[in-house]
Amino acid sequence: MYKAAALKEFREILGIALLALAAYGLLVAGTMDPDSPWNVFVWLHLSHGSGTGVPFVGDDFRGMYLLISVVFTLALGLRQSLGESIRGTYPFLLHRPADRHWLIGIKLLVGMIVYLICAGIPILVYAAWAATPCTHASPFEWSMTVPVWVAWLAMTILYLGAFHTAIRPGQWYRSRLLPLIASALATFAAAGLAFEFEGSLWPCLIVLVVDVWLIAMILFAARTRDYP
Amino acid sequence: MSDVIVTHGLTKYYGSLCAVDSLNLRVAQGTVYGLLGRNGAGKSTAIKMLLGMAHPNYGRAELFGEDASRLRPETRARIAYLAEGHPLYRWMTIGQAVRFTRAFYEPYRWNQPLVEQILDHFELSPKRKIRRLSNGQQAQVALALAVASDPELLILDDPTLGLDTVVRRDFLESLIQIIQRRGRTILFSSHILGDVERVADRIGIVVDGVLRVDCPTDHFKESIRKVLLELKSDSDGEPPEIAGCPGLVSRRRVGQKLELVVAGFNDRHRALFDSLGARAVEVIDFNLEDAFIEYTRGPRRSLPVFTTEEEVSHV
Repeated sequence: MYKAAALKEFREILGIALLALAAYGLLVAGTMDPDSPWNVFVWLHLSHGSGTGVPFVGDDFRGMYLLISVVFTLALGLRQSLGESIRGTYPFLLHRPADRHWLIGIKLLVGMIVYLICAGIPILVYAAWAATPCTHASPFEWSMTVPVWVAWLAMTILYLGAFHTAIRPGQWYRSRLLPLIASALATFAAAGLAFEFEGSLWPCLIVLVVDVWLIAMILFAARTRDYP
Repeated sequence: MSDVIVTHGLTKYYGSLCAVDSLNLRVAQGTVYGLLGRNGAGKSTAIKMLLGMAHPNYGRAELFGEDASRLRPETRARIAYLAEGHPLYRWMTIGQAVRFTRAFYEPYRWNQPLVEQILDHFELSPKRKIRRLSNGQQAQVALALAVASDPELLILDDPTLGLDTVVRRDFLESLIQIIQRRGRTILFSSHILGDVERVADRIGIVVDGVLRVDCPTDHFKESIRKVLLELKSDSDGEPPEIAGCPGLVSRRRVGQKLELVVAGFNDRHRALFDSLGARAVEVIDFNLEDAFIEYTRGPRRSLPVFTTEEEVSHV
């Protein structure tokens, strides 16, 4: 049964994941060759199109990567939770003979895995390119990727914050957006710390603690809220 | 016979609005129970509380003796729930919806031939996308999915809402066939009285969140009467005995006629009305729909004054 729930969830977020992958693909292609016609971010005036040329340190990758990831995680979290509310399918889903925590937990698990894979691929591809000799005229160490990896992990806070905001009861113009705002602050604090203390992994600990807390809050809201 | 559904003082507030007020309900095994009420009366909220989709502020509900807000998956498997509007995943095909739903049930519970039979009866191909189906066809798919797990209890929230007359009739006939297959317990809400009259053997009427009636369907029909009293021409007010009449639901004076709606009409009422010295007393039977309307509409508003175009032009 959990496989069916996971497949259904995957099918529902596949479109968002493919769009995100396309955006990450354009980012990587444009960063590897800023003068290429693939660099759509220059066309959109979201990127300078030139940097110091040092991968992960002095190029546009970090900023653009964060921007795409923010949109991706928000879309993912809201789609998974708000989508069921808008379509009125929560009663159908939650009346399945399965533990409610598991049904919501599978949503989170699938969402997290899809995000981590989709957002992890561009870092790996770009890092692999950077590590390949004769591709660019600058030094590269794998440790230079650590801040981006921490940011990658920190974005899970934003994903969970979006999910929590959509599932918790409350009015949008009152307290409902608070988890999203708080998680956005926590995400950027963790990512900022990672960039500030390059190479340090301890911000990951903050991310994991906040993630666990948010998951607990989501499961609590799923159990105690009313489903219209 | 044991009670499948029991509620004790179930109460739900939305802000300051009391949607369901101290609902005490017992539905015995094998009963087809129609929960009636006007839009916003609290039927759907009551059903949602029964299934743990809404949480009561006070009171509790039990299904199969288990707290409704914490139903175990095994108990949920014994209950089919058709939510209002028949929500399904519209991106799925019918076949995908069947496979998705089937995955949650033990193989011995899932009656695949029955699903295929119902879909075949409604001429629904498993390859069709749910988003391409009409409201009526979506209701048919939802019904097939609901009954395939061979539930002991079916809870249907306004299952015929939005369906045209023909589809509604088909849907109800399917429901009747399903009921007849075995002595299942069914609780369904509706505001289409004809539907209820066809299938329910017991009804509950919810008015402003309060369960005002809980009795066999026939008993309700038989106990609501309209009484027309033709008063003497010299009487300018209504007889004082009317105000104290037990079971009086509404009264209206039209000229010299006094129109009364009485619940629990009996020989004592007849004797009372005969003793008033009216020129004529007429007692009118109701069908369920009329009885429901008279019972739930509350005090009548003043009749509107219609004017013809000629009259307007003279003004």
